[in-house]
Amino acid sequence: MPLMPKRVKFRKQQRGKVRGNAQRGNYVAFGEYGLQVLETGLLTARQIEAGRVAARQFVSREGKLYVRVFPDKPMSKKPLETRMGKGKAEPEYWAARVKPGAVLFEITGVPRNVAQEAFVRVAHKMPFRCRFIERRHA
Amino acid sequence: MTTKQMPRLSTEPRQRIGTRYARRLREGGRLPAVIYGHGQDNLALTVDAEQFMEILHTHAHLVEIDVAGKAEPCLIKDVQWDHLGSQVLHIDLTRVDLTEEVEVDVALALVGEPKALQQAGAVLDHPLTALTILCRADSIPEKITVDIENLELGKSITVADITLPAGVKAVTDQEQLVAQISVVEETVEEPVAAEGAAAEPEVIGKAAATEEEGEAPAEEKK
Repeated sequence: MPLMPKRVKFRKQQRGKVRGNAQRGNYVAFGEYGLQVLETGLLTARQIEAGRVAARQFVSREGKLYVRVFPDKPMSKKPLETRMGKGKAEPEYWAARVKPGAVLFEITGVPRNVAQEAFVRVAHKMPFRCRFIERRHA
Repeated sequence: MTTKQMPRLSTEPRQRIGTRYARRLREGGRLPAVIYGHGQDNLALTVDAEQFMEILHTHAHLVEIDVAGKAEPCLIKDVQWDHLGSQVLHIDLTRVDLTEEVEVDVALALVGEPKALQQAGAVLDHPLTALTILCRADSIPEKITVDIENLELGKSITVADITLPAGVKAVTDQEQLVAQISVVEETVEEPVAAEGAAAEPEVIGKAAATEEEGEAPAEEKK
C-alpha cells in the first residue's frame, strides 16, 4: 500500500502552490544523518516509497531509517482521451509538499560513509536536488 | 571551562534594527546579536561571522564579549540558523556571573563498543543527544560521556544512570532514555496494491452525512 492518510475531511483538494522555505522539519531530529531537499515541489507517495526501498536495500538490516515526509495531498488526474470540463477528476495519487530545507530521510546506526552512499541512491530517486547533512550537536 | 580559556568575541553596537539592515550586515560578513539579562538594558550588537563560527565549532558555551572596551562574560543562549541550517542568522547572548548557576544543553558522547551491537540487525538507539544540565557558569563541561561498553541487548541507559561531574545536576527527566540496543526485525515487503478506487481513505463525516440525508427529505416535505 502506498503511503496515504487513513482519514480525510475532503476527498479532493485544490492544486495550490508550494512557496517559501521549510521553517520546520529542516534539521536532523531523529537520526544521525539526513537527506535534505534544496528545491521546492511535490513528492509523490511512490517516490517516497522508492527512496525508502533504495535506502533499506543498501543498508539491508543495519541501522534505523526514518521517513520525515508524509503524502497528505490528493492529486487528481483526468483520464486519457477525456474532454475538458465535467468537474474535477478523481484523486489519482498522493503527494507531500516539500520546501527547500526539508529533511526527507534520516538514518542512524550506520557509519557515515554507508549513510552517505545510501542517500546517494535515494537522491537518484528524488525529483529534486538533495544534499547529505549531519546532526548539529549542542 | 575556566575564564582563561573563554574565547573573546569583539562586538560593535548595532545602530539600525530590522530585516533589511540585518541582511546587509550578513552580506558584509557580520552577524546581528543581542545581549540581555541581569536586569540591564538589552544591547543590539554585531559580531564578526567568521570569528563566531570558529567559537561555535569548539562547542563553547561561554564567551567574553567586548562591549565598548569592557569585557563581559556571556552565555550563548540561542543561535538562529537559516532554513538549510548552513548559515547563522542571529545570536542571543545572556549576561552571566561566573559564579551563578546556569541551565545549558551539553552534548552527550557515547563511548565504548558494546558486544551486543555485533549481533545481526542490532541497532543502537540514542534518542537523547544533548542533556540539559544545571551547573556553575565557570564549570560547564564540554561534553558528558556515557559509557555504553557493557550495554546489553534489551537493556537501556537512562539519564539517572549517567555519572555527572561534580557540581552538575541534570534537568532533563531522569527516566528519559539515553541509549538502548534493539534488533531491527526484517519486515516482509508488502506487494504494492494497484492504485485505484479501492485505495482511498475514509472521508470524515461522510457516513454520518449519508444517514442524515436519508432522514432529511422527509423533513423537507413537511
